[in-house]
Amino acid sequence: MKKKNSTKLFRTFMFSMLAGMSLYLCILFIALTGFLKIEDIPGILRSLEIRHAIKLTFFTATVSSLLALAVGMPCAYVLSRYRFRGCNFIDTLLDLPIVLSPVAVGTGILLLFQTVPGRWFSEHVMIVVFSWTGIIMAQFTVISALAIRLLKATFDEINPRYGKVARVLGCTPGMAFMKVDLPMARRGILSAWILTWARAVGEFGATVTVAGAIALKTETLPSSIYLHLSTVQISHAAFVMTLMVIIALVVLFLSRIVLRRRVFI
Amino acid sequence: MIDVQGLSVKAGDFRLRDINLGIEDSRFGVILGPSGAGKSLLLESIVGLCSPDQGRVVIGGIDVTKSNPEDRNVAYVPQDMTLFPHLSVRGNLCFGAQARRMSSSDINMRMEQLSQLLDISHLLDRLNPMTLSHGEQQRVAIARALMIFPRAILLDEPFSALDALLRRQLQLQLKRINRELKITILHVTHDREEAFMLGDKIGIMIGGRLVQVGSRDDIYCRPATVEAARFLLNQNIFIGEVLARDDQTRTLTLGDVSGLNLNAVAYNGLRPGDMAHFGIRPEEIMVIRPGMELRNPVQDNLMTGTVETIMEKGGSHLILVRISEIDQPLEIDIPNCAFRDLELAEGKTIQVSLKKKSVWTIPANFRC
Repeated sequence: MKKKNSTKLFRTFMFSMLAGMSLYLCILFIALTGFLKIEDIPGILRSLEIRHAIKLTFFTATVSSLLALAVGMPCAYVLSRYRFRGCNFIDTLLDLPIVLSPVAVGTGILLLFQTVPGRWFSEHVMIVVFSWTGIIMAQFTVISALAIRLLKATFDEINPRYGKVARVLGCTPGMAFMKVDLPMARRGILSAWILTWARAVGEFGATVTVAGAIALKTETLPSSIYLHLSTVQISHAAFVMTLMVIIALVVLFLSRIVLRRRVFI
Repeated sequence: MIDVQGLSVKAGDFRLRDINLGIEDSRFGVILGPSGAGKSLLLESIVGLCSPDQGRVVIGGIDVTKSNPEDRNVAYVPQDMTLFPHLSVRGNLCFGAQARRMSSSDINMRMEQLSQLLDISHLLDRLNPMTLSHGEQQRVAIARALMIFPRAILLDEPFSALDALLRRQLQLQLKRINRELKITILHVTHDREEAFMLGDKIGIMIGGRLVQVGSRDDIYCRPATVEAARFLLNQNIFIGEVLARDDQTRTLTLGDVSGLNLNAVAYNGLRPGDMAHFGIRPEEIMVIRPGMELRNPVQDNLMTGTVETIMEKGGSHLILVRISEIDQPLEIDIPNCAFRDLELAEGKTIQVSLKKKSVWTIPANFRC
């Protein structure tokens, strides 16, 4: 009898915590809608600033997430398949952008371009600070660690023996990667792309440090929220936040479909 | 021909040491050993997936020790088959052939030939190879390996996950492939029966060493080390001294500490005074029918004992017989029909013959 009660108590506690957390998040997002003024929405949508922010955010997030995947795939593959001296150090190093404050990451990038090679790069190759390339660089630096983590988990799940068998059957290491590892990891790669893209869309700290939040130049959706809040345009800020919540929900939904998991359990 | 010369390979804390093995063209070689002996590591070293510290791998007369796996032209079927799940059965079969840029007409001809040989024609259009049964997956994996016209095919415990009936069918099929395609096969297993059934040449691998390589008879009747003898279920093992050697009749007389004296064929360099392990397989001991006339081979090493325990094994019976001269009971394996004819029962006194030619001897100072 006592045992039955303790089981019931345990389950009730656990489920209450889950219900409480879910309720808190729902209230948080629903509260936004209270500040939305329906009559303002057509005007906000026509606003050049918002439309530019949406376009810029989608463009930079797409480029930076694709870059993160392109760089992350070989990194993740090496970390997943090989053991070498310094492996743990590199693994930890690659995780740093996840743990560090985005502002610190952004400051790092900013200072990098104050060094001699950084200044040379800005003068002769491209300007990064306070430009859209700076947004891409900031987003890439923050999300690449996430991309590597997700891709490594994907490669870890693929038995290395598939690649070995492909080698024995006649593939070079590159062919084995392209014909076996990559197709088998396609779902994980797609899921990693969706999640890193979403993370790039939401990136603020590093972006604002490197590129600033200049309207119609380097204003992304998160910096738009910041700008509208600082000018007490709450309805505008609430609209952008709602937009970002919708994007996040769609992305999480898509990612779960890609991974063939049920969306609501 | 697969020729492995003095191969040493390190993998973590484990090490393969000084492996020497030669499998002639079109022959069926089997590496037999317990789990963790290093059998899979040996195969991976031959196909080029592991780099050796020492030694050479020569395939078809070419030293491939430093060659890439894709350049060795040796096929490999791992234990878990690893059919590519993102490819159809047909895609799996064509994979190696396409990687080697074989012409599509050659691919189709070879696929047709192998599909018939392995009875997988009806499976070719299946989109997901993971939906095949274990036996079907195994046949597809073997066909995929053979598609590339390899010099040899290496199989890592291919039948370990199959039920007994299917295992037997595939064993026969593999033997047929060996004969019909005249392909060299090196097969790894821990199943003694499978090794003796398939292998023209058998190697016993224990603890990273190839302790014995030889024909079925060599391995079965004359184990080279005590570890090999124990692994091959030679339960009647004694240690003692060589008391005499008669070179004319090629007979050794051996005695153990408890007073057991046995005659054995002198097939190695043991001399009187040498210490030796000696023994006999349970199946090689003959129970003498009362009143039976004793002819020459049966007259050796006659002993009388009492049946202590009888255990049924399905096709045969295992009998433990207490002999006064020996500390441990003698283990005898006799077929069911003989068991019934002899009317054996626990407590019954019987006479047994440990035929001279069946007694094996190993120098006791032997180090593997």
